[in-house]
Amino acid sequence: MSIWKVYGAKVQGPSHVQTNTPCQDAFSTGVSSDGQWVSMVVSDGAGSAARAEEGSQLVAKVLSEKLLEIAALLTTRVPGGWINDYVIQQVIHVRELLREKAGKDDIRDFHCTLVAALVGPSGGFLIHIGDGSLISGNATPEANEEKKLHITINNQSKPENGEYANETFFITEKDWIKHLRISPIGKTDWIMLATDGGCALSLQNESVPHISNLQDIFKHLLKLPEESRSPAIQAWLETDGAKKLSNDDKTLVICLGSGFAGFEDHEITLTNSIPEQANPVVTPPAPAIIAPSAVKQASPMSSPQQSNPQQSMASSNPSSGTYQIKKKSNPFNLKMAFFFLTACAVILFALSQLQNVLIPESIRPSEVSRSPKSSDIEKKADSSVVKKPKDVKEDQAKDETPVQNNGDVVDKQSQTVDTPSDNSSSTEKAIKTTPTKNKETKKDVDKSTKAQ
Amino acid sequence: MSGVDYASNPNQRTPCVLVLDTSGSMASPTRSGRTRIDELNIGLEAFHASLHEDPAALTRVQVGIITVGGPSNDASVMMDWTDANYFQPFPLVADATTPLGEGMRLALAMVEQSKQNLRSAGISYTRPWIMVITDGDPTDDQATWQAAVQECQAAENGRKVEIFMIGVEDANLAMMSQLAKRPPIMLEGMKFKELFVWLSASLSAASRSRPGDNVQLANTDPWRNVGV
Repeated sequence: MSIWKVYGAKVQGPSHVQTNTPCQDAFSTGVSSDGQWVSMVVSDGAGSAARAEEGSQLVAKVLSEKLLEIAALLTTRVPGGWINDYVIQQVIHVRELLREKAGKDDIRDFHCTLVAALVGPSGGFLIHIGDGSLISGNATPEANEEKKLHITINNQSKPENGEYANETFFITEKDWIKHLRISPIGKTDWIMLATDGGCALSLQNESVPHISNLQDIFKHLLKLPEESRSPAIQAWLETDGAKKLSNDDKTLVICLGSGFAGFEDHEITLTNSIPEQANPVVTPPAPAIIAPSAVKQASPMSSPQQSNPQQSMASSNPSSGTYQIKKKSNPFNLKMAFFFLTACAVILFALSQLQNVLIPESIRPSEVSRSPKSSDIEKKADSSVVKKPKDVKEDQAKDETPVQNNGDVVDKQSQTVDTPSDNSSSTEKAIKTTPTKNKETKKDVDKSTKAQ
Repeated sequence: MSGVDYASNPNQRTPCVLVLDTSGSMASPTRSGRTRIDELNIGLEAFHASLHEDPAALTRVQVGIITVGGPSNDASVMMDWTDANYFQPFPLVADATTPLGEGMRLALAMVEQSKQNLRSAGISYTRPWIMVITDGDPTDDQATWQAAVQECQAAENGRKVEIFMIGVEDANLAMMSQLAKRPPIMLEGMKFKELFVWLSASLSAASRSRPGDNVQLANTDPWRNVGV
């Protein structure tokens, strides 16, 4: 008996139906012989490639088997850098198989992405080239409330596109290794893999997990008997809401660990526990003043762009120099921001020093009782004051702020990020529709390919 | 008359700048009795209607308009970046010279600005387009023209933009062909309406294209002058 249950489906996209192209998505999963490890591979064949569906099928099938070999090796070998090397070797192996199939060195006819995961009882790896998405996390019963299961998102591998939204990277490209991303993850209760089209259900705005959709997916999935779960996923992928969001082929694979067993009747809540700083968003200082809510309330015509008088609609005698002038002014703004931040840092540093100088140590409250809001800068300043190691330890214990600890970020730091639910109610509706007809799933995941 | 709204429409965008010749020659009468600029204005109305018939285009296409010539006798931004659903056509007036090189440089600057705006708003986008419609000889000085040619070529080679050149009646195709990799296409008669319906359909196709897809542009036969 495996500790993992895998459900999934792939559907042909409306645009592929129109043009009579086959579904070029593929997925394959496997469970190790001891039932402790599960491998999942999802691949999205490029519409422009002549034999994309063959490529994606081969990549999914071969890698889902080969990744399980890592599980076998892990019984005798300590995890380490060799796992990365092994994954790279296996990708090379698949590329070699594609060359054989092509009968030539060039394998662009098989262009396809790679979205894969290997997970065991205490963690695993997310493996990714190109677009599509991997999200994983944990599930814990609420401590004080009965019949409530709290699901968290703890890891994510985001889609990687080129500069343009309609460009991505493929396992079949020459420089594939530049785009190979392998992320180790800790103990995990669930994983969700999706091709670009499948992301319509799991992501909003291209990269942010769609919290309300994901919560609905879990809510409905857990209530269903096991044999209905894969068909349900297929039905969700085929709803009008999903079709509206993406006319591409869609694949969604969901793997649930033993952490979910026995909680089928629980109320589900879901939050994103990925620390925000893990996904830095570079926002220029000036536009950040406009809160998204403010923009929403304003009349449609008063856009964020219009708030910049230099750029507003030219009337009777528009100045053609607008754009050139604006280009020059931008680096200046960034410079100002940098200056401002540096000045703030210096002032904070000086203040912290003053505190040390002005207040005699005897009446100064111990380091520990500093306000929990103490910033990183302040901390750096404090470190210049020689302290006994014991004090430092106490500091860390009582300070609620995240602390660098031998390079590892302390686990406590789980920040709950509530993503504002947006207007994609179509998907929400889509998910709430439970499947009525038990359509034939193209691949039955439960019949997982057993390795060895 | 411009507006973008990323807060309530986070869809990816396909930006397109129209560089429109509004020089004196566009006031020439045509067989229909209307002037060329009248026909162009009718085309813009058709563009508006066509965008509104296509939900994908309406939520994803972004338009800017630069006029070359006109009462101000220069290249100027007549309409800053505007989401298709806020786009309202307005009548253009023909007058004066054709500083097309200057117009192209302005268009490239607008494209770069658009990318910056989209990036900072966290909105993804497909490659921007510049579509040029002109009926005569560019009147830029040599230095401006050469700079424009170089900038356009660099932008296309760097995959920063797609440039489409459309010639009307007496257009100088030789000069136009210096500005874009794609050969210029002559408009059949005054088929501006058909041209703009094509533009709307093609922008829609580009805005819906997925990674790995080839963008299938609409057929140009309805408006293209096959004699050239």
